[in-house]
Amino acid sequence: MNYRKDEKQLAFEREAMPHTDLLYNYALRMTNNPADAQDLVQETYLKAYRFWDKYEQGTNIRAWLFRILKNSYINRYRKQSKEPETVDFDDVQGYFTSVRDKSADSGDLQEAVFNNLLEDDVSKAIADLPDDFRTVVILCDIEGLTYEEIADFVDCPLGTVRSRLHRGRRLLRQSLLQYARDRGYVAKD
Amino acid sequence: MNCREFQELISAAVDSCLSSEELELFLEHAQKCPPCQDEYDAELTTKRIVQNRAKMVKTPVAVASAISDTLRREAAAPTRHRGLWWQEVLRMPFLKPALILGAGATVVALLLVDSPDRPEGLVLASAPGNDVLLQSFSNYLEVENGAIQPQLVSAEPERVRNYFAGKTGFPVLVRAMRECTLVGAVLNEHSGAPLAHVVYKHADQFVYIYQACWTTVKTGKQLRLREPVKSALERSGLYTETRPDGRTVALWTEGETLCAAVARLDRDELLSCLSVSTSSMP
Repeated sequence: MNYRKDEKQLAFEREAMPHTDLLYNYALRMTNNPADAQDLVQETYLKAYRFWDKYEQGTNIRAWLFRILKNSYINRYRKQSKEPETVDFDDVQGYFTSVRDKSADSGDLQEAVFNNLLEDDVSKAIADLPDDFRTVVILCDIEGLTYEEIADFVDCPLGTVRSRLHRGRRLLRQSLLQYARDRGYVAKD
Repeated sequence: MNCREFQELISAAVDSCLSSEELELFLEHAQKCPPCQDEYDAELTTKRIVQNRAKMVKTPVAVASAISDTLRREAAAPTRHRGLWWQEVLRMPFLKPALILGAGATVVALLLVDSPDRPEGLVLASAPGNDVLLQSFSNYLEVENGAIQPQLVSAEPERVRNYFAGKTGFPVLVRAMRECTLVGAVLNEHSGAPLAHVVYKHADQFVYIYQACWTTVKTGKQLRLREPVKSALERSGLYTETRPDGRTVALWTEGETLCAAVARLDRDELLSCLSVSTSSMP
């Protein structure tokens, strides 16, 4: 689509600018650093503006912006991302069997234990998740997106969203339990 | 429904997106399988903790206004895609062989690019105040994303030195660096203090060297360094810092010149690039 310059600016501002919170929160959780999150979001908007002609009107603008952000993130951090992107289901399976035995009896009590954890602990536990799992947990549990929208954002089937969320939350719980043990809220092994 | 099938539906159950048939089978299994029921409870708890402890934040005003500034500058710029300028330079078919062959092919490597249409809004090094370290980090991103364009494109150190000659008030260092190709240069000023910017390419990364007058920086008015950085520099002659995104800065001084080299390399890789001909560096 061809725009005049001022039309392009207006269209871009109207369509793209309302989504800064979505992008900033994702960037913040992925980088764990406000300055880096700012750089990433700024770069995303600059690229989006430059390639505005390529945006297909009527498609999900949030997904389009998100993919630009995700690619920028991967380009910047690929050097450092030495962590494996997937986790073997069986590795966590055994662990959770033991969690069931050792932690409190009812869900409510567990929640009470975990509620003592600090915001920092939860942030750190999220930060420790492998990127693929962290992404779906951020989008679903923090940003409140639907499964359909997440599937569109990360370009994968709904079933993959479900399984990544399940595994991501399991890993998260594993870290949280460790923090709770370290702080003495749960008996150590 | 068996345990395996139940596991696959837990997240969807937690987020209340099971169909009524799925939900019926799910509840039926949960009732007769306490371990699966516990696992469902555990995932529900985990979600609640995340929701309660990791809340969305509003985009800070500073971030929103930085985005607006970037877009305003972009909108004011000429319509040509400036974004990939440095990369475009390297892709020029007549320049690339010259860059690879180095001095032997300099006859075709020289290309002077003036930027008569550079908009006023495109001021280098303005956002992070007058702190040299922050300016150099921030400028590196602008080199990467193309907001900073080369005024002079050349692989020839002599040509770049001549470009700066007599314009800066301090000697600009332009050297052959290990495994790096000189790409180009930009001259500008911050609050009246002249700045020289020299850009190299190292594999697929940029190595960017910001240069300013050391006395001006020590005076701390037009340009400055935070006290711990300045004293580290005065004590050992070198200061390095790495950002979480992998950008490393190395600061050093040579006579009247303060250099801040930034690249997405680790400290040792960056220092190794810089070590050629920088005999006065520790």
